[in-house]
Amino acid sequence: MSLIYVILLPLAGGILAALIAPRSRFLAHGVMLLSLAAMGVVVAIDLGTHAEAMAAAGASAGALHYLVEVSATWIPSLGISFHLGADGLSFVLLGLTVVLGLIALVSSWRSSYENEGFYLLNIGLVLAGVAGVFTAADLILFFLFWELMIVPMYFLISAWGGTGRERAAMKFFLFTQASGLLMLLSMIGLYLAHGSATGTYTFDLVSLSGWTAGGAAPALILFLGFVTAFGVKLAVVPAHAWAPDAYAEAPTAGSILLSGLLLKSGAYGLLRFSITLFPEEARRIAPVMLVLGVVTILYGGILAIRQNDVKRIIAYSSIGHMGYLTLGVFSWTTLGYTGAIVMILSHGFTTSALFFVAGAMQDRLSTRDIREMGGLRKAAPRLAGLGTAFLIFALALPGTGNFLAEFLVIAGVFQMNVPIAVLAVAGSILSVVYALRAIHLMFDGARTDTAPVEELRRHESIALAALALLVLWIGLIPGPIIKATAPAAASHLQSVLPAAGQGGGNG
Amino acid sequence: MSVPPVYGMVLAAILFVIGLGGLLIRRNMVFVVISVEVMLNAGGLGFISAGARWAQADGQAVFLFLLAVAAAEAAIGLALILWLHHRHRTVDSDSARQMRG
Amino acid sequence: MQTVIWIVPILPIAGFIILTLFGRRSAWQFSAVVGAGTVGVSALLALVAGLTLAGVPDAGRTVISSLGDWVVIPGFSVDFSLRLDVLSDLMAMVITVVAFLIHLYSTAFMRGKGDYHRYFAYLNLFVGSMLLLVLGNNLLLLFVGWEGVGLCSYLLIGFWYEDPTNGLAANKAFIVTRIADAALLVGLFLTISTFGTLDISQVLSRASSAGSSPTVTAIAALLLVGAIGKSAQLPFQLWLPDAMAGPTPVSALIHAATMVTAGVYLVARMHLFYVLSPGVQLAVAIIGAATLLYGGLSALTQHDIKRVLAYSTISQIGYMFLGLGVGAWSAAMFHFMNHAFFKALLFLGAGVVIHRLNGEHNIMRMGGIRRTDRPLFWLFLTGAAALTGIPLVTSGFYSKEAILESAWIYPVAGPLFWAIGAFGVFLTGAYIFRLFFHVFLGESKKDGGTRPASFIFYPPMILLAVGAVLAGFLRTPRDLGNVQLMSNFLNPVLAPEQFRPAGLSTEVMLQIVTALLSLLAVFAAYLSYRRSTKSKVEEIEPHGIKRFLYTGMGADWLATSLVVRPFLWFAGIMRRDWVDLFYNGVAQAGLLVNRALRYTQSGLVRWYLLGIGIGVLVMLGMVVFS
Repeated sequence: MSLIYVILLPLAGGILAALIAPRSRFLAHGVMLLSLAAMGVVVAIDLGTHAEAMAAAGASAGALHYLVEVSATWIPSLGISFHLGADGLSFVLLGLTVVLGLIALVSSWRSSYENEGFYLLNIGLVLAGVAGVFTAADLILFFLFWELMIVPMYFLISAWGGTGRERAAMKFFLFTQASGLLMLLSMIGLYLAHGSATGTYTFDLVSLSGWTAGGAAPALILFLGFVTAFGVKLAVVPAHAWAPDAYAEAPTAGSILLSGLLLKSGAYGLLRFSITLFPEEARRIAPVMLVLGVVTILYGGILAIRQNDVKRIIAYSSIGHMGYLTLGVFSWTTLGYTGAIVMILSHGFTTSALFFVAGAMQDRLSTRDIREMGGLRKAAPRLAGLGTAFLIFALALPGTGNFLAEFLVIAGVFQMNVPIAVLAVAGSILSVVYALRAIHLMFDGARTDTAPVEELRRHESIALAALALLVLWIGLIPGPIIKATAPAAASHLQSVLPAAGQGGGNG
Repeated sequence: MSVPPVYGMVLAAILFVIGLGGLLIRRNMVFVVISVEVMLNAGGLGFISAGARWAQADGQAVFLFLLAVAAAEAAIGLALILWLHHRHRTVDSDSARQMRG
Repeated sequence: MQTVIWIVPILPIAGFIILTLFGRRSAWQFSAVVGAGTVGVSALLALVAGLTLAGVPDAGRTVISSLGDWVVIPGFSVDFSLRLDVLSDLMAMVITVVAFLIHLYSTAFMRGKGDYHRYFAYLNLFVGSMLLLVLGNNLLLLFVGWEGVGLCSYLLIGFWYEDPTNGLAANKAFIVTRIADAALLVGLFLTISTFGTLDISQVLSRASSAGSSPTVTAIAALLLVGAIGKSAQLPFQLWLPDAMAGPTPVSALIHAATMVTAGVYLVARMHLFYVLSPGVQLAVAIIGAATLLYGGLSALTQHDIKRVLAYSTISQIGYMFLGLGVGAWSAAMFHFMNHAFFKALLFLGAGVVIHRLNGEHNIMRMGGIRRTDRPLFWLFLTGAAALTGIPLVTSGFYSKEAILESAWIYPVAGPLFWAIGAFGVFLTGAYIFRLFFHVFLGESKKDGGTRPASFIFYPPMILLAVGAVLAGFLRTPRDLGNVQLMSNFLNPVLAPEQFRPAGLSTEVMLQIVTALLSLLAVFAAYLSYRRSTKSKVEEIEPHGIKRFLYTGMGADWLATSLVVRPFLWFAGIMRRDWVDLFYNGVAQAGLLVNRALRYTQSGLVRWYLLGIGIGVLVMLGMVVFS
């Protein structure tokens, strides 16, 4: 039952907050905060009670193995059920959801928006959608939650965004919606193919995962439908075009949720759905995906170098990092896979912190152009210090989770394809260039404007410091996360590799 | 000795084309409505001829419906013309356009 | 007991954390005590460890202490473990002792210059990272330290952030070294995929049992690129002269004594790989020889006192690489230690000079310090003499001698390497005494007089001067006492010398030649100094060959026009996100179609009707004629 609470809590919190907000802004935020905290407690309890089971599941890896399941009939005539399931990977991602939800909430604490009730409701809906995506074990249910993430995010961007918000929101919606519909088509195609081959028409992930569509051309097309949806969500080049606009124009909380969670739902979908359902096709397409991954790294890095909008720098940096994630997923090595999961977490924390800082600066300076900043280290040392720290984290300083992730991913890819690994390493130089340029332009020098800049408030500092600690924690003590996600890793790799022989191939 | 049904069909076709031509050429709404009436009746004639050809009552039944439809159409059409005249002081159909592409 | 080793790097890092959290709100004395205190305790521990290691037999001179696992994945695992052996402890001792002295010096030097606690926080983080680098038992931990020191170097070069040029110098340092580090990283990946581990002792033992192979050569070459990046060797020397933008004690500690020698440490640590791949080892020697010439020549015409010392550092590390390249492992480490003492001394002395002259950096506008600060004159003279390698009494003489002897007997072009090294000795004497005479002799050219110096400046410099003289006697040539304390100490890790020594008489001959060269250099510097003061020509802009050397042989210009500009040009083109433009194009095309189709929605009912009529006709036609 706990999984239902995980989805219902943010939903209920959002609705309650929306009702309370017209009366008391403070109370509305408090309710939202409480509901997220409760969600965190539920996830923590689940993690605690299933810690041993997770460790045991590592040994019995094989097919999809959920630790917690909720199942109810929903539309039996169409083979659709209300089936939620979570394993270690899901729990880790739910933890990320809670943390980033809290951060998003804290980020908007200071700035008072118009119509705040609806704003909080949208945040609650996005979080519920994300939690649903991370736990859905039925394709239609998954699609439902997938849509539940997108629509409120559209409103967040278009109602509370920057100057180009309508365009950005439309772009975001068109990209994700179009690719989402492709996924729906693929789901239905898979449902029909599976039904006609086995006689049972079902959308249940567990039942479908055992069945392989046979590696024929239709299966490849179905697989591509899924990959397109997840690739667009991940913002893999060339499907990244929505991301810079959406990140730049969204309100701070929107950027945090987008980069920290919605992107990761693409990664999760790739791992849990595309690869589980189509191991054979995933293996065949891997060389292409490796190339796309490394192109994404280089493309994001190069583009970030000459941007002047701080949020666009972070956006392209984020796109580049998703290239590493793609490489990790399609490297078919435990190293790469583990690296990808570490990347999901540390990138979530780092990038949301960066958007947090960018939002704080935008609030204070009313600009996002880094050429108009400068001298912030003098004016607001704590803001500048934390900003520097996170940009340094983003360039993958050893000791941080970001470094560990990149290291593991490239080490994994290196065993499969040396040139791509070398290019990925070269891409890491690009991140140094843009991060240092941003630090230099934003914080160094003397301020020309003598008006004082407000320092970070206490709650903002605490939120950022907590994120910094999390990034370092992942980098230095990754053991628990690796252990929690190892069964998922093993099962995915096993589903791909027995058929694949040596796997990979030279792309 | 009855008229072969095909004659009826040909007459229906001619009437229909005349109606259609009127519709295309005339801008006066009164003539437009008259042209529509002509076309409807052409259709009705077609049904009756077809009913005669297959010795079925359906054709005549449909014609009864058509009469009702034509009456309704004439009433609504005339009401529209009145409204148009009231609004634009003209019965020119083109003057009523508000979409300009 | 063994976990005590962890205290050595963790103490300075703890100092960093304390200073970051509480430094801003505390008095400056708090920062000074925490900063210098933690490093001081680390230094004591390292010294105790060194004495302990010296007392045990060779076999017991390696202590490994693990704190537990870091990453454990099937097929790959790394743990947090430190490795204390003679090589890492030598490094640790030099680092902590020099760092402690420089911390002491800084407590006075950085007063009144702002952001006191931030300075000590960074400096402590640096010491901690550097210790992690040398003590790390696996290459990943080493890499953590490696990047950590790079980060601190970056932060400290840009320490005075209000001048944007400092920030740019910091960026340059970080980016240039990071490019080299990318190669190092690829080397690590190759190591993982070849040997399945990053544990240093396992990698070394597996490499030695596997013998030489193209993979081993590739790893050696990749690690070498990382090493020359960090150590500012050709062609990565670009960043070091600009790095002088940082505070002077930082230049002394990071950009002279310790961090820049990390590359030397890495090659010495992995020396087995270089023994197994002679080609790469030859490359090490060539890079070292070329760099020592480059640095020496470029230092000759500099005006900025710190840039002279920076090029000197490049040149001296060139000696160390030459030593590594010719297989004189322990001699290279010997020179590293001596260099740490005398170069730190010189930088601290330069700091005092700059401090006294209110921030003046140009040696042409200095003079007469001998009269105002007699102790400084003697201290700086000691440093300069040690750097030049004035025979018999300075450490620089003994360590350079050890390297040059090995160069002579190197099988590939040994005498040539020796000749370059010997010429380098002449250059060294020429540039450092040119600086020395200009700064200390003659009349003061400053109107405002000099600022008083703090008494705290001197004890660290005196101790460094003692080190710069006495450290040399840890190892002397066969004809001069044949002391082998240094090589004996390093014996368990580094074989004394790779190649057979030459005859004794040859050695004596070589020593005499270099000794004469060093004295001649001092004389030449003095002559040139006399001439320049007589001619009274104010040197403003050097020209001709001098200008060429002044700009570091145009290296910056070359790098800018060959790499930086094309890259930025490319990034500028890419900036517009062409893929996005494509999608925008699709959207524009959609709008265009929309505009065309809009004309059909004219509101003219009769045209609609015509459309319907034509449509019906077409459909009927299709039915009839199909």
